[in-house]
Amino acid sequence: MDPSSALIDRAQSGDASAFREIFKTHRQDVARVVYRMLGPSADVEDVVQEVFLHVYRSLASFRGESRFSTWLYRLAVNVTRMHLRKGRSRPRFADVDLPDVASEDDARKDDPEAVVEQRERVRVLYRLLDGLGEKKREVIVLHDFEGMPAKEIAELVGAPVLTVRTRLFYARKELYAAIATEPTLKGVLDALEKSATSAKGASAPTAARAERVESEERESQP
Amino acid sequence: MPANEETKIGHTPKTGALVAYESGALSQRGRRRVEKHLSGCETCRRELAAIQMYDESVDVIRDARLPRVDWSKMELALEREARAQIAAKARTTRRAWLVPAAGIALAAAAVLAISLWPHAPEAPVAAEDHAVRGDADGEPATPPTPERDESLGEMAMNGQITLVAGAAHVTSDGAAASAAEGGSLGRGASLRTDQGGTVHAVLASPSPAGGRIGIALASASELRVVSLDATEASLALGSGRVSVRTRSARTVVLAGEYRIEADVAWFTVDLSPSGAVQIDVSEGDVRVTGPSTDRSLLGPAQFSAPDGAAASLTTTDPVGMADGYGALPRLHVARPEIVRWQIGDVDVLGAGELAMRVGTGEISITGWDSHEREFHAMASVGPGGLDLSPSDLRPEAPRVRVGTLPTAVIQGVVSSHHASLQRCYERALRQQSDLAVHVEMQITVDMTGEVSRVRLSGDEVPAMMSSCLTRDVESWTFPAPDGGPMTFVLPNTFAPR
Repeated sequence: MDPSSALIDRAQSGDASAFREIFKTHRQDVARVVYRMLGPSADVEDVVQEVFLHVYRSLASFRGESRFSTWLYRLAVNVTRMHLRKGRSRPRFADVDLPDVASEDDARKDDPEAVVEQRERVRVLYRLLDGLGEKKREVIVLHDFEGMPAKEIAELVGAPVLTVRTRLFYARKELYAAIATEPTLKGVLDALEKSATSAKGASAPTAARAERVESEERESQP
Repeated sequence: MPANEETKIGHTPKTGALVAYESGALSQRGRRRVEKHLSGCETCRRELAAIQMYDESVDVIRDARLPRVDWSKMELALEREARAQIAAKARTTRRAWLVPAAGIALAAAAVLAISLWPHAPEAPVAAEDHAVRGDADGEPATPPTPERDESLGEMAMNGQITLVAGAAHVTSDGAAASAAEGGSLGRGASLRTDQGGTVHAVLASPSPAGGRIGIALASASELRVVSLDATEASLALGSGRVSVRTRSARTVVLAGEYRIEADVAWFTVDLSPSGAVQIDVSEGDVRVTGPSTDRSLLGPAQFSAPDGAAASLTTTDPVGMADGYGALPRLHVARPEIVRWQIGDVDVLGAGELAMRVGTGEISITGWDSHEREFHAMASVGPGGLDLSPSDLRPEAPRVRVGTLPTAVIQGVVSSHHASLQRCYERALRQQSDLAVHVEMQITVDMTGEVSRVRLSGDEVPAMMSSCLTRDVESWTFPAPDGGPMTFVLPNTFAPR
């Protein structure tokens, strides 16, 4: 049973404190999904608030057929998608302060130049991500950035798991091609190519890659 | 560029192989093969660098701390919303009681002084009050009903078929024909799909500012356009399932005894042969009226009648909603065994063939047969469109059967290498004297008996030890497995004696 179900029941029967509790329990998760979907943007707070306004308004129609968290994610994705569509005509990443991208214990925090460079790369990556179709963008964000299994994404976007996997493959392929030809990344890519040539061998997989490979293998088990 | 560089015009890097290489998932032999290719392929080296950059950036994104969010700012607005919702609920509950109470008052006046409170009839499902569904500032939360523009009175929406996959039929003015992409769909026309067929259509106002309705009719379904004017369309679902996306145009779907109405929404309606209706609202606001039902569903939401056991339905995005869709080049693909397609971003069921419009440039075309075998082509679409023949869609390699090796044989090979595995551990022990780890090695033996892949999991192992273990296992040789390649897991605990 979904641990939230008693809480939902209380909210549905008009208990104001239950609404507050739902917000407090889930706000961090919603903010994370919204933030990862939007990328570095000043609109995170507005969109998170919009998601919860929708949650409050739609709670009466939630009947518990899916897990509350799935329903909530679906709503967060829909609201963010609407927000992105509305904003497509205006520039998105102008003059926005990027959040800290390095974790506290990361050695790179001692190298401010490297941190700035990383932020810039993330900014460019999100810009290239904007060039992908909406569905491909979503599957990249949910699977690669958010670490959500394909099965859960399938439930969320209402598509077969196989479609999600195929979409993910072609989304990454398209993104790699966009990265490879992006003029502002030329220096970074030249350096990576050079280091790969001198190392003569596969570099150590990044944490995200290792985790993704593992989770994909797990997911592909019958 | 190295002297032996062969710049391949139009060469597409094999992304799967590069990803496997980059993630260290290849055997030594596989790595060597990829490295040899990389040394002569500039495009592939660039793509590999792009993959590495992407992976590093994903790590950064995953590790990123969330930006500081001022929760207190939104708490106020949400508190107001919660109060509004609770007040709305209280009002609808009161109204549910007032209905029988009013009935009693009238009955009392008519038959004089029947003072007994009758059994309270089951409270009707109260209609949600749209007026209270906004926030406290009076902003309506639901999209406003589009204003009727009388000047559009003469400009009724036109219907056009935008995608056909598998077998679909259209009946117009009593004449039945096969549905074709680009065909028109007017008032009174019917669409019908056979098993494994899909048809999409768009009803759009000739005015650029006018409304637009997209329809995706699923396999084995039937839909009739009952009425079509400038700002409203009424559709009767005879059977099966339809997904509707509506933009600034009122859409009414009649399904059995239910009426589903929306102005700006994306939803799916399913009508079973028994008359049961299911609705899945993905986006926007949908009003459902029917026997003892009058309610509003704000997506994501589900509804089912009469049994109430709603499940989520797969909602299809109707193709052709974008401006200028009709001017795009036409794509036609056919291959008899295919039952499902993915054309770029569009997923659709359709047995045998598919026709739709696509943008010019490269497009990924994938199909699956009923055994989920994949067929794929990357095609380039020019302004004149593209007709892809069955042979252009290449099937994926046939699935390899999984082989077997007797456990005793595996144990024999493993025990003959026990000492070398132990040496890997002892070397690591020199760096870390208290090292104790449990490692599971997933070993794949290819058809010839050579180890083609080793993957370590379990405790974190020093890099030196993990590469030593991997190298060692990759050098093992087994008898050829019976029936094809096979994989097994070898658990090992290494601890100081």
